[in-house]
Amino acid sequence: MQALVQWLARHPFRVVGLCCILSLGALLVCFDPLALQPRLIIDPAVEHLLPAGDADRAVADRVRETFGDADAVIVAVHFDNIFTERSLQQVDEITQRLRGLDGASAVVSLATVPNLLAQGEDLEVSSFTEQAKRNPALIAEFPHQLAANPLYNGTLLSKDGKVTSFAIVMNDVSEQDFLKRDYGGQIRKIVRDVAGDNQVWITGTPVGRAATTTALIKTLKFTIPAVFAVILLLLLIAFRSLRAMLVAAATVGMALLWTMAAAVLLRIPMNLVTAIVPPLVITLGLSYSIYLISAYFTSLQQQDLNGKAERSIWLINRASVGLVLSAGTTVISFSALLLNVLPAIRHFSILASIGSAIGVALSLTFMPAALAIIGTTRKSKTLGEAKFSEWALKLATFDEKWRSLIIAIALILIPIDLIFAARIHAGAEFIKSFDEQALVRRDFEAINTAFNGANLITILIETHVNDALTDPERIRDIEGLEQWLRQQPEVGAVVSYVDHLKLINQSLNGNSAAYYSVPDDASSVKQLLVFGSNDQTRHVIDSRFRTALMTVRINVDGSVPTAALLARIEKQLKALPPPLDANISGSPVLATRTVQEIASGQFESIAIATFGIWLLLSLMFTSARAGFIALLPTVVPVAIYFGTLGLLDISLSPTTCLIACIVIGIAVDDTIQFLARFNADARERGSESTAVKSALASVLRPITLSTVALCLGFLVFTGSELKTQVQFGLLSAFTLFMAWFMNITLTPALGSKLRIVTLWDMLRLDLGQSPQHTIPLLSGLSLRQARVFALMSKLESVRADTRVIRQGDLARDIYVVVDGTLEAWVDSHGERKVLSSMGRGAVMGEAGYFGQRRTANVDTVTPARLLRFNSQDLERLRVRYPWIAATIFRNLNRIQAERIARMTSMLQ
Amino acid sequence: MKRFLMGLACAYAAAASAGDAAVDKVLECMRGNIPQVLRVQEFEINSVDRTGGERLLRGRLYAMRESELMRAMVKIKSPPDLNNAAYLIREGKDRDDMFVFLPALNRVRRIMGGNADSPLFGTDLSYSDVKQIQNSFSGGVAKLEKPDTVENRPVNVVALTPTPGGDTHYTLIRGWIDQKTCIPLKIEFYDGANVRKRLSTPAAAVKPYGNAWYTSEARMDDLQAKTHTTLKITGFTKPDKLSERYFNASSFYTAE
Repeated sequence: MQALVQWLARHPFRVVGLCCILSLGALLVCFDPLALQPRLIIDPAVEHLLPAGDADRAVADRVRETFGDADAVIVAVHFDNIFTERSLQQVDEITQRLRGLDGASAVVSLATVPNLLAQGEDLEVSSFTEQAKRNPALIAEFPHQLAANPLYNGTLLSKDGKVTSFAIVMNDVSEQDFLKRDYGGQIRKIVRDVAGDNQVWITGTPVGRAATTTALIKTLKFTIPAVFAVILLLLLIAFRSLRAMLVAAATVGMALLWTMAAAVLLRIPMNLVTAIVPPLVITLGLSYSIYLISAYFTSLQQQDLNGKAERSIWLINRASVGLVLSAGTTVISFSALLLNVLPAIRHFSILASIGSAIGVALSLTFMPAALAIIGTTRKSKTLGEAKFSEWALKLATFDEKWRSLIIAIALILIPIDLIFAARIHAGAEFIKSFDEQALVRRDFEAINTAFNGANLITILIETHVNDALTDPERIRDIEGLEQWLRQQPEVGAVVSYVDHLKLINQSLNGNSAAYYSVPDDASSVKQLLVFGSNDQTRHVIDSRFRTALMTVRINVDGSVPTAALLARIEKQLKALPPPLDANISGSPVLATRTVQEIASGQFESIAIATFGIWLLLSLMFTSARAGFIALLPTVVPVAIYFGTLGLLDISLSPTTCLIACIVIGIAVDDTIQFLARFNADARERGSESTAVKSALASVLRPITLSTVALCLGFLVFTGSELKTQVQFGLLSAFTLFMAWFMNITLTPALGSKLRIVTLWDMLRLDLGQSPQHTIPLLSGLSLRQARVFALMSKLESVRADTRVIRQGDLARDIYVVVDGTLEAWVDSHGERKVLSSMGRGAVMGEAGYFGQRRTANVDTVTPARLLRFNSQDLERLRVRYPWIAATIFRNLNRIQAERIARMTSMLQ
Repeated sequence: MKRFLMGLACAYAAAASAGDAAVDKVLECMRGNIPQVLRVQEFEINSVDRTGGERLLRGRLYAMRESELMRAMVKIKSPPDLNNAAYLIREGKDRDDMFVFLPALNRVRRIMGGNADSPLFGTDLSYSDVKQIQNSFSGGVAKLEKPDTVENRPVNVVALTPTPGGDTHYTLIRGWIDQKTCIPLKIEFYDGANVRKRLSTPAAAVKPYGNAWYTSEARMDDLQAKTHTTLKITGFTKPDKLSERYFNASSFYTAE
């Protein structure tokens, strides 16, 4: 590993060159230079977040397969009086021109649907506008005929008779094409050309998707430069180095580019969830940069570093452990989302993990190299350092003083927040995710009000038996379901083949209302359906009469009210007799299911992320208990986050569900930074209390800066058009702020009584060869346990001719000689009388441990390393590592017993 | 529906004119295949939906041309629950008449109006399509394009740009007319720049009958809806005359 570090440090130009070449490759992956088009796919459909094999998506696929795409563009136009020759002419002209739109396969309007109730004995199959053209006198009957026609009443004409609708069936037009061709603009122009200033509203799934695409693109266009600008400004203010800022900007830019290239190569689209990745990568990348730049400026203050290469080696070694651990915890927490059933969440997890890893890799390779090439050599004191040191001191004193209270409050907050969290519900607004003034929302709401519903759900009725749907008994079951649906307050209209059938029956029987009914035999039903079929019936029943589609228009939006309605409908569907097998589908249904899936996977993901990080921390601190303690400052803000959701009645949406895992991954980094520094200082200074102060003084500034950077980065999302993104930004910033608050209060409070042993301490610790065999106190321990004991004690290096123990002192420390030679002697009437010479494994000072004064002096003869411990250390060991403590106590007794036996023998 | 049946009667003949002499010659040749009187012993319409589901209708067809106006009667024989349903179509100078008899109603109904693009009997044929097939390359500007080959047979290619506001909303109709038989082997209906529907006739199904030609099989594909309908004719005769009751609104459904 060191060879790699040395190579990186000695070849900065090659490193920078290689990174630039890779970036150029990534740019070509992301952007097609020939077509001048980005290769990144944008997919705004919420229902596409569902997995391909999902049962609901399978139903939607069957609907599409059997009946074609049901997601039409709905255009509503206001007429002061629709029942005039001129208005109907305008409807006809608008219809013809809408049909002429590129990609429009059909238009359903008063100009295309047959007015079956127009004639007495004859069967009229021409449309309203055709009839009006042929005989204007017929118009007078239209209000009555429309009111009597359940297929059109409230669908093609609003209840007040002033708004008529046009449903444009689009032919596989993607959201991008929908936007590129500006269908919204074209439709408005057509209506304006034909009907002047008549008000026009446009809605439907393609419109919503196109608006979401626009909002996503705008969000990306806004958030990426805004996050960049805000955080770079912060870097410039904090470090006052333009060069360092530029290097950080280049690093993050590359990380983003490479991550996006990975998205293209892995065919991961940008959707409502994955759109968060780019700004997240920037935010994380810049927080990594802050750590590296901090270390870089520290390196400038190191007098013993000669030359750029040596400084780069020092820099990489200094930053690598912390940054790799940061990336590790972040990747673990993101990876927990891989278990989510939704591909979009898994894609987010993969991309965010890749972005995080790339950010760290570039911070440890490109950044030191670039800084070596263009970085400043001035040893300036960075802004606010003194102030932060002063605050850290006060804060550490406060944390120590109120340690118990801080810990108690933190522990109490967890159950309280969980109580509030129990009220959390999964939910997301669909069209209401847009601002109230947004055109797409205003149009939706206008149509929703005029037609008592603007969202369409469908019920797919399958029998798998040819002609089963011509059986009058089954038809009546379906009719019963329709009647029940019409009674639901959320339902504006219901249409199925049963309505078509009854209408055909009525029209073929002299328009007598008595025949608005289901014929008594299957043969009659089939004759009516075959010979009375038109363009509309094709979309409600299949050619074998075994599958039907019921269309339900609902006036609610958002997953919560939709889910409530769906639950009631599903109960009704289950009650249908065989062979009727009915399932709900449609864009609002799939979007609602998506939100429900997110909620169901949320707590598993958090539990797995927490467990994964606990495992990592336990391994790092070589103790499950230490791992748990280190995790606590991260668990508390996550609990507060969920408590806040419950308290403020904020629902768990596709974006808010990501926050917990993001915060777990990021917040734990600060805890690790503090504990690692605290551990080193505590070992060096031999005092936890002093170490809390020094560690806080060391990390307060960088963790505060990185938190400010992260919070500012997330707050940039508040500029998005989509409420879900705004909510994500605000809540992420709030939760990260809480995590920072816990890390400057709870973490030091927990640390002040904590002696931790880190994995790298263990690996680095040198106790000489086989300490468990060569040092009697460590007998019976494994090498790892011997190292744990050594690290729970204090390993001290002492120069030659140094007094270690002074005769007559009252001290309780016990010493074990790791290496070197020491001499025990007493002053006998001014004469130095040597009692013994001690080497590796010797134990001394144990009399002091039992409360007696030192009985002799001990001086080092050669440089020596000594393990020093006292009763507090042994007590801590007993609590944390009882088995090791028992062995040590046993060995200590054995050593004492041998010593007594030896002294007894000498006396005899 | 009525137009469909008329189209079926003379599906591959032409009854139109165009200004260009070369086009006129091709259309004249097509017209030569249309008999004055026709009795199709059995026809079969098989509609295949997007999922592969089929609906098969079988029946007989009687047609007669009188003063260049078509009269046609269709009687459904199968499936059993549609047995004896019958249609009568009478082309008029001002308007066409269509009558339907359904056993379930046990009476005749006249059908008024019609939607040019509505599917007929749930098939892929619409009034508009049949009208174009029947009145080949009328109602617009027809021109002869560069000859081509279909199934290795030389064909004349006739392209029609329909008059805006006419019966069809197609922007272009292009037919590949077999040079030897004057039977269209392929017709494409364009919606904008895209082919919306395609009618194809296998060359092997083109057969001689006296001095004329007919096809026993054709297929209409709706490329947008991803459905198709096949038409088959098994045996037809050209009697000298058919009884008037076949085409009388009060008696057509009783005629066999």
